[in-house]
Amino acid sequence: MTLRLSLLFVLGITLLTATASAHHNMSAIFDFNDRVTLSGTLTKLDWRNPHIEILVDAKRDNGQIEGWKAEGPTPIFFRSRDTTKADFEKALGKPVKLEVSRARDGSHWGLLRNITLLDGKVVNLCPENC
Amino acid sequence: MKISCATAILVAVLLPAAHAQNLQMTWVDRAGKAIETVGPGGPYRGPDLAPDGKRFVVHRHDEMNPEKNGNGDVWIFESGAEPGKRLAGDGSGKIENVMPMWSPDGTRVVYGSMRNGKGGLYMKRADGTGGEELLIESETMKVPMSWSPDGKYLVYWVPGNIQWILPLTGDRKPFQLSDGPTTHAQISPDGKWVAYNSFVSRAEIYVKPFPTGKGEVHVSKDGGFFPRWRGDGKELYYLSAMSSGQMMAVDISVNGSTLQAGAPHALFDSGYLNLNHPTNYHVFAVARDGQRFLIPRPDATPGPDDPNARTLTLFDRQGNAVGTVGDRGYYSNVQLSPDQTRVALLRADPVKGTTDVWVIDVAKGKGTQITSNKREDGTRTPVWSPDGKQIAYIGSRSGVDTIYKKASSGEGSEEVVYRLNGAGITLQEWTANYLMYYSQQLGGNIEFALPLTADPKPVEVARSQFPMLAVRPSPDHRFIAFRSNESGRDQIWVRRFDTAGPSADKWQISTDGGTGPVFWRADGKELYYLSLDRSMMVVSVRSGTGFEFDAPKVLFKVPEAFPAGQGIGPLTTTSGNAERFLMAVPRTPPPPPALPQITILDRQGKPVKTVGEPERFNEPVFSPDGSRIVVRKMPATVGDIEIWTFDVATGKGNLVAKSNQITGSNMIWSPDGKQVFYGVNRPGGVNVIIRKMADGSGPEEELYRYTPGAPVTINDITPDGKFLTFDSGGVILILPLAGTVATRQAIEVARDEYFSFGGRFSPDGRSIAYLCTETDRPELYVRAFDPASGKLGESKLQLTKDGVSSIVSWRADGRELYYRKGDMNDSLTMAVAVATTPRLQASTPRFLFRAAGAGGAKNINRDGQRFVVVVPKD
Repeated sequence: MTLRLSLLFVLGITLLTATASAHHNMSAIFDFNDRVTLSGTLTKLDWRNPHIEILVDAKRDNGQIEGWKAEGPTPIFFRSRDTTKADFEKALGKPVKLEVSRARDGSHWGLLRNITLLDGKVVNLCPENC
Repeated sequence: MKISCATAILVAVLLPAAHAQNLQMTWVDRAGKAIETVGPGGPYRGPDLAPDGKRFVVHRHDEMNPEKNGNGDVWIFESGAEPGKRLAGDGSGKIENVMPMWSPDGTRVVYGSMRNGKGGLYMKRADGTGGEELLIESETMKVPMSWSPDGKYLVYWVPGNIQWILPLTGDRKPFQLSDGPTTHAQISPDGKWVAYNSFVSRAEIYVKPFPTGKGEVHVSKDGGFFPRWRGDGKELYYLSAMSSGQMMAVDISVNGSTLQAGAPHALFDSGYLNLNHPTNYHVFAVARDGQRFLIPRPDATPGPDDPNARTLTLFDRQGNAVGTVGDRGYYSNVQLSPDQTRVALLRADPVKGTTDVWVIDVAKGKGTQITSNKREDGTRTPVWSPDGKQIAYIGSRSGVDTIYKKASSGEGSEEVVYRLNGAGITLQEWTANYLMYYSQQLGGNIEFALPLTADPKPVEVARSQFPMLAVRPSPDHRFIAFRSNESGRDQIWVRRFDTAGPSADKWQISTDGGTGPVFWRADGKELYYLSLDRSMMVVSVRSGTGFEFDAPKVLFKVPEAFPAGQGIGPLTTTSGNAERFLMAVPRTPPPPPALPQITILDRQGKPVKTVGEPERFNEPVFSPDGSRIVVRKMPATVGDIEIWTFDVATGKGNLVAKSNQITGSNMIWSPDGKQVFYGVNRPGGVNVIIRKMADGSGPEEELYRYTPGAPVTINDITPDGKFLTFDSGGVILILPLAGTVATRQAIEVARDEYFSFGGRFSPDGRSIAYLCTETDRPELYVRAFDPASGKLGESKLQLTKDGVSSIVSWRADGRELYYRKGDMNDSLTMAVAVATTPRLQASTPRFLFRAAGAGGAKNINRDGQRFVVVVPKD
């Protein structure tokens, strides 16, 4: 048995990079060519595995308010973007801007591509969803 | 994240394996300019500079040399090109001696070593005289990290990213440096502070009081690795990335008990290229005045044993080598030009850390660089234009894939052909009218044809729920050949190529399995592919209105340097009349290691019995009564995975299942031992939990089909057989087994911000043990389980505090739980006594034994006296 130099980081890297076991087949549900930009109020946050979800009351061009659900990566993914649950919690009830790949069923559901929080912080979800 | 496998494989092919790196110990100035190299090239790891600033010690990791058993020794160098002196180890490679570190007075060197199953820190005089002194030894491997300037403390690292402070006076009882996962401790020159890597969030550099005290100061701002101090403690250095990082510097000022860190600024590109090698050593050293840095930098010339360096070799149709092209190098994706006079390929430069498209003249061996990538750029799959005047390739920059083209002469600038929507795309071929590319992005398997028009819109020409690999259109553009596992095994297929829309017509060409590459002869009358036994196969083709073909025949055997059954698509090519085949041939690999053996160990880890014959088994699991074992058998290269059960007493085996859809999920037994459960991945990415009779009889029964695309790891079943637990994406689910596959619904019982996984029911079915990363690394917890509702209790008991790699199971009386620490190379089986009544209680975990090659999910027998593992026969 040998002492190998290959052990360090295995654990850390496993946790930090095993970020995005897709909980479902993304391409089957979301159309990556159908991008929707939304501006509105962040109303709800579910910061749990296997992926986060946010609800946004989005104001559309016609002035109507639409409730949208956006799905993101696993919470640990955001650590690599210097973003925490607290950043999103602070944005609850505040304006946000986001871009999503819309669900193929045409509903108000999308896969998060990027989001701009109130303080101007832009969180890019690439390569999860470029 | 489903970045395509193709990309991962490509990277692995392109980048020389870390263990094989030919590195040159190099002194550089603060601008990164090389001042001096020391010693011959070699696989060096972890330099440490003596207090005199002249000598250094380093580990020479001779894993690239098969005769060294993958181990290395400690060497000491001073200057010049002469080989250094071996300070620790005898060159036999039987024992690994790692991460040498100087004593504060420069008279001794301490290093880590694993001997007789125990991990120790050893010390030796730097002049080589005298013997070794053992400083500390226990069951856990240890790597020295830093020595306090007063000589009183030594910090060392153990698996699980825990760093311990060893007092060298008094009771010499080690204590933890920090609660969270940390590495690379560096005590400041005044001994009052310690810098280290923290992994609580991403890898960052922090400084805190030493040896004890609160108040972490965050030093790095955008990630950091491998801290080192300047001799006066007023500047701290680190790399911005684990590989290819910038050397960063931070001003440090101390006012009383307060430390302040300035803004990090980049000094230079470190030139340190850590090619996928996880590290637990300091990767550079710095002179006391901070003006010179000692870094093991890659050497441009491949070492003789480097398995990733390849020779471009031409073969005739009989498989005879008839010539070589150019120098040996890190080549991949070789593509002969249509006239066979030049070869386009990807060439990795280990010094620059870049990969570029090159064109090499076949006759003269002279190369022309086509692209000039930066280190962070990706480049893939060069293809020739039909007239040979241009090369198209994928450029991956800032996470976006773009198809570019450029003159094959290297002249002029590149042009954007098409900006792709996403990543992980490979170019396949440039036909008269189209550029063909293939995408596996996020679960799709789609072949596109991109019209060569001013504003091209890609046309989907083939879509499959199975990967379509090595896609090649026929010369008349009426068919595409490719590899797919849709029949349950990798085979070569041909489909009709129709830009009007995907066609359903398809033909299976190979009969005994096939792998990449797939080529057409220029006249479209022959098709070539590689068989699983390393044969280049040829198929005669007649395509009129339909598609007719003869049985495949062996054309020749490819060199044994290519592992049988593994696709060498990116490494071989043919063109035109197929009279010549060009292959990027690696060195002949060393003999494969001996096959592992199912082995039963006692509680001290001593082998007491072997079961069956040595084979490529893994994950052995005892049946509930301990009389049988279920185990997975992996194919030699590509092919089907098998599940076997073995009778422990007789060694007789039964084949339970054989399929390439079997997943790496745990296998478990039914409580009565009559059936086994395992996972399969069905078309469309649907993970399914299967139940089948343990003797292999009868059909597979689908118990549960989970959300398409979601992973499933089966973990355990309750003693009454009513509930099964599995995890997916860090969430633990309970599956009531009543009902049918159509009606069963899994319940999420542990779904949090952190990961929960690996549930094991207690023998009374009233508790569940599982792993959870709530403290930023996996630890073992127990919670109550209600067998009536299938739900978990709210409160939980944490049983471990220094990391767990995998959970094993409970003893049959429910009084002891077993888990593992470390990894497959160095796995420690641990035990912790548990009481569940009147309330949950646990004792301090204790070490049982270590064994490389860990067992499966539940590899313990009922009384906790026997463990089954798969280990090398020796």
